[in-house]
Amino acid sequence: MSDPVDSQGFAVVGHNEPKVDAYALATGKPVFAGDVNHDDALHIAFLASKHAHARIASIDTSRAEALDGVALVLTHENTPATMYTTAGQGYPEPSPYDTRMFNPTVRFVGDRVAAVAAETPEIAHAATKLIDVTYEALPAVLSIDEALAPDAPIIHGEETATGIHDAAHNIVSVVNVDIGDVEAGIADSAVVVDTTCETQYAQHVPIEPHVVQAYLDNDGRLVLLTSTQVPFHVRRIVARVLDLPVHRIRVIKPRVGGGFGAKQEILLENVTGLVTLRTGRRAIAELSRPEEFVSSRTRHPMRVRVRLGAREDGTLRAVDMEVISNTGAYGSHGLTVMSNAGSKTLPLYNRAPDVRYHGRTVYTNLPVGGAYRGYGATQGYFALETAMDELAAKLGMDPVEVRRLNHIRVGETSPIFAAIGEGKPGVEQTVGSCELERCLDIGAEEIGWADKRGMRYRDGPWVHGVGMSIHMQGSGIADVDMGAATIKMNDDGSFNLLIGATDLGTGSDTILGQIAAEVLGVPLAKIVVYSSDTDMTPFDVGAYASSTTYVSGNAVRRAAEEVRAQIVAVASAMLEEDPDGISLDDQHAIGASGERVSLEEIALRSLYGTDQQQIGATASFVGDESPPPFLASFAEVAVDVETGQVRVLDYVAVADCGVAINPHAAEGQVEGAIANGIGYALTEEMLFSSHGRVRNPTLFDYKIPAAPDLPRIRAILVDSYEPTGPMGAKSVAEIGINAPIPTIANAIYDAVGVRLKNSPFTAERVLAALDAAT
Amino acid sequence: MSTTITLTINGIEQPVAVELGESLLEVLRREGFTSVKHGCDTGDCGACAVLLDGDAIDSCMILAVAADGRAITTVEGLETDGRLHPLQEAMIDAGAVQCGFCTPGTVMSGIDLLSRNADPTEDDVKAALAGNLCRCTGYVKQVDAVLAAARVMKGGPDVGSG
Amino acid sequence: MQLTHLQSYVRPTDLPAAIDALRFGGRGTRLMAAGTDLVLSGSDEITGLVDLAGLGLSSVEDRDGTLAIGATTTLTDVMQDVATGTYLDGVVARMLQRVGTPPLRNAATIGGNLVRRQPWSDIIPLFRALDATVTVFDGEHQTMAIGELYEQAAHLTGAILTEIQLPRPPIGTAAAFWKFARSEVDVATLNCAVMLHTDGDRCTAARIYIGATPRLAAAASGAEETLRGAQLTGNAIADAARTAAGEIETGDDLRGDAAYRTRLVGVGVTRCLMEARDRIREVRP
Ligand SMILES: Cc1cc2nc3c(=O)[nH]c(=O)nc-3n(C[C@H](O)[C@H](O)[C@H](O)COP(=O)(O)OP(=O)(O)OC[C@H]3O[C@@H](n4cnc5c(N)ncnc54)[C@H](O)[C@@H]3O)c2cc1C
Ligand code: FES
Ligand code: FES
Repeated sequence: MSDPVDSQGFAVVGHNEPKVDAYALATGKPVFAGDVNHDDALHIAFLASKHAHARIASIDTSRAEALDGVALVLTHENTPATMYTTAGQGYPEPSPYDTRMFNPTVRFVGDRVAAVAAETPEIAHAATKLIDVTYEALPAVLSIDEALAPDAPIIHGEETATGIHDAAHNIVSVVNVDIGDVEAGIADSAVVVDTTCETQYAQHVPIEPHVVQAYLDNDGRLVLLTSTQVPFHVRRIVARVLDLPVHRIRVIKPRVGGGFGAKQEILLENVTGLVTLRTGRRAIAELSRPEEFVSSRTRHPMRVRVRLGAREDGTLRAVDMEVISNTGAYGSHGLTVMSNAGSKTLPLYNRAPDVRYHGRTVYTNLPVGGAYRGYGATQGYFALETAMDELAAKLGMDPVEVRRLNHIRVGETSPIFAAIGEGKPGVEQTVGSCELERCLDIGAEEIGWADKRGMRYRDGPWVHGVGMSIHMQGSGIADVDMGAATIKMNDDGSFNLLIGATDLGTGSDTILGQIAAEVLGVPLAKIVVYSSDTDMTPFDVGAYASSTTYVSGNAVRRAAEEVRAQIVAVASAMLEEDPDGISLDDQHAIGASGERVSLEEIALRSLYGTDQQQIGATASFVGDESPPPFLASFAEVAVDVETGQVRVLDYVAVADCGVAINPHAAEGQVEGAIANGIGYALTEEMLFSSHGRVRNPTLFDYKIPAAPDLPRIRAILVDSYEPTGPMGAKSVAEIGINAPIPTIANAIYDAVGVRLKNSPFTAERVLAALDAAT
Repeated sequence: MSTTITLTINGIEQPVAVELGESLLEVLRREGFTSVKHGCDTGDCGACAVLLDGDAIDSCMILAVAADGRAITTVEGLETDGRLHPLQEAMIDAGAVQCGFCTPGTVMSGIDLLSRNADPTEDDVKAALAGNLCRCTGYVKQVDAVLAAARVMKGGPDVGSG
Repeated sequence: MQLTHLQSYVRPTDLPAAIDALRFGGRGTRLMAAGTDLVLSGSDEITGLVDLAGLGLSSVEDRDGTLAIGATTTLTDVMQDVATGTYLDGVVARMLQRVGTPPLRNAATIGGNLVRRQPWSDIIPLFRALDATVTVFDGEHQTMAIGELYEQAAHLTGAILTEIQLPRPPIGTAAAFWKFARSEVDVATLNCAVMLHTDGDRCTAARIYIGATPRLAAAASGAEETLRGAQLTGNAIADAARTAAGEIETGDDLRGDAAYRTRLVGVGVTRCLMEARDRIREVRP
């Protein structure tokens, strides 16, 4: 396969370099947090609430403590009462401080009541069953409607909680943005659609569940080896909750077995750390798969209403989005996920002068929402792109054409960029790169749009249809996310790249290494990448908000450029040539005369010879904008009209992510995100009993896609160059997950003429919709 | 109840002390074979897959004592003469290793397939990987890797070493 | 640890020794094939295990047209055996392809599935439709219709299932299996198995079983009746499907509610009958 960006003339960037950690992973080296074996470790097990809402009237741990092999039992009675948020966000976190390590009131089935640390996992589990708890049951709120009902039970009545918008009415947060007069715009429109879509509870399902080891180093400092996306936030938040100075904690992130947002959360670190502090012993906590489903984090389910008004020619006149997000029992990411449902969707259609976004986040007594790839945009796009499809149908136009007429282009802006931020106003920005037009051309061509749309090809009971949607996301949180990188040169002309950026399987260590290698004129093998360790690497907010390539990548580029300048200065002295004429290539500094000196010679001279110094630099980067990647998504589906089952036959996702630093890695992000999105569209749904208990917390009952469930997902990257990005790059990790729900919904409509507005589109739901239509 | 069983792990016959009720997964991890991952304990994710007498099985689903006297291969045992198995190489080259947590188990299922079917189709590969859940890759590059490894292995041991 | 109360494990090498071990083991002692279900159960009640792996009961054999399957044969070995591939157009292999995943099929045994009697078993409805017989050993060997395993609740206590026989199909016989699941790797929301005997174009007898219902592998006797002596026209098939949907009791769970399952009964019976009919026509154009 040809590398798409050779045109840029890069030597390392734009090439499919094997991942720097692939060898260790493919050979099964002990690189994950749970892989380190220690016979002397304590194992932690949790007691979870069986009530959706209850006050703990009394808790007696004496029988558990008496069990042979139990070292410690933690409950709300012997742990800090500090209020905090588990959301691993920048300081100050835009999520309410509405939880303690252990709460005296439990707020969902699965909420943490107590933890036991014992010599073996079996003893720890057995001991949880010996904890005697008397609950005083409270009325529970199990849906958005119940949360907003006039006399709804109050979920967060505690006085200590802060940052809740209106606790008395279960409202965590509110965002209201009015641009122009949307009602007047709607009234002035030739065609209006009004559609409401609802998304389900779903879980990230990283194949490695949350796992943490804690131990004390020889100086008595607390070390947390944790599968996290946010090591620096872990350190800061754990320090606060455990009342330790930050410098007494070291957080090490080893390889992470997938996160997708679930690990942007401080769930186990504080408990594990406290066990170690209290016992002086190494402690391990690892969630079981059912705990991962129920007690970690989920995608915020949302009800999103979109009204679109268009002129007769199909251009948008007014866009109105109304969001109610369900954050479950605690407000983790409650405000920001809801904000993103608008901020990452509405700028895509910037033609409409009148735009309104009204969003609310509510508490319920259900599992807790959190960050999840797509981060609200996924939920927003379901409604927005369904509404766009309905609009096309009403106008009698091709859905692709309606998108073409309305999408944002290079040099354009949207008032939404500035209006909605993350806990504070956003940042004005002008789009510097956007290849959506070509994405649409390529996608339509590849799926066979012109030949297949509206044809309803039939194969026995299976009726085929095609659908599409378009998307944008961001690249980091402008003005908020900071990443830093340190590069230092070694004797042999190799470099250490130390980054706080958190590779959680995405390949960011590799692409950041590629950026450094490109600037320094060396092969990737000469860059030794290390991430992330709060003692060893500079700060980085972590892996979220599609920030790593852009924010951390720019930091790496800057650091590499500073190092290059230092190298050039030494080379200039050695070659006795003007530094301005010196370039780095092929592991040499090359003067204008063509004279060369190797990086090894430069390193040896600066470490041991003349003008001795460590060549090295640390640089930071904060985006003053967040350039959006774009995606055009097309699918062909078949619907079995007798059973309602939907199969995805073909999927084409054409992405503009700027320059793909590593095309394989970028494609892999799109392929994985689309796969996850197809699962979310068709089968993935946490089901609840009438008491709020999750009925399917296993991989046996909760179905994520396996290989034979999916078509060969075709990720296509278009040539593009983002002027503010490192080597022209912008983000790619999240955007894909937004696409399958609306794309598949629209394809189902093309096939059988029914609109699915509640995800997932299970066979039973599709059949019911077909029945209702006839 | 503990007992000592004999396992041939990656070609080395060895006595292993186990509890009767322990799964093979628990024992292998304790013995340091950390490529064998723990993802669900219910036979659904395949992260714990190993070869038992040549067949890929989920090690969380069987008791260690039931493997007494039998041969187990884990990813740690695939390297020969300092060279990776062609499927491991193909996984790396195809970009099929993202977080890599599923990779060892997937490699096991791939090897099982290739031992039964030297010339699989794309659908054969998908069916063979049905028990190895991956949340990162969408399986595209994993399937490519198995197909590439099949080509290399058919072409004889030296193809693909360059 | 999976089975925390396990105190004894034996792997006898002949059937009488296995039965003795089971009898003397006491209440908490169980027979174990691959153990996949036993391990998953994590049951505290299990104190002893008698492993059947040493009994030499793993084989697939074509006995003059009868397919004989040893009880401890893994699903993979059954599926990939040449004899299975030729038996009734490979219907058993096609069904097994839809059971679990390759690593599961490489371990799990056919006998374990039949004895464990999960309501959603794919194997039980097909083997019942195929009119299988089973041999059990409880000191002596005894062969009976497979239905007897399920008609008496605890028939197999104290006995070992040793072999399953699928009888030689007479000329003009075809079978089909259909499974509906939420995804490719899921247990059945509903499954259906059919065997048709014909003479020329007329159906002389049909066996129809529906699985993943509250009654393990329920026979659609009314539907079977409507087909007896009928030409296999679209109408006859639709009639049978309607009758089956009317007579099979379905239940609610997280894979589907009862009404939806009833719809699936009609679809499954139709599709199986059409497939079986087409297979008969293929051999006799
Ligand atoms: C993830 C997963 C997915 C699955 N998917 C499917 C599916 O799609 N379709 C399907 O049909 N099944 C499915 N199964 C069930 C699977 O087929 C059974 O687990 C398997 O067949 C049990 O075989 P085993 O050898 O492991 O039984 P064991 O666990 O050894 O035994 C099961 C029971 O049978 C008894 N037993 C076993 N052998 C004998 C014998 N010879 N005589 C007397 N008693 C005996 C044991 O005492 C025990 O009570 C699935 C299972 C899992 C874990
Ligand atoms: S841990 Fe064994 S299949 Fe998941
Ligand atoms: S690479 Fe992460 S689960 Fe497969």
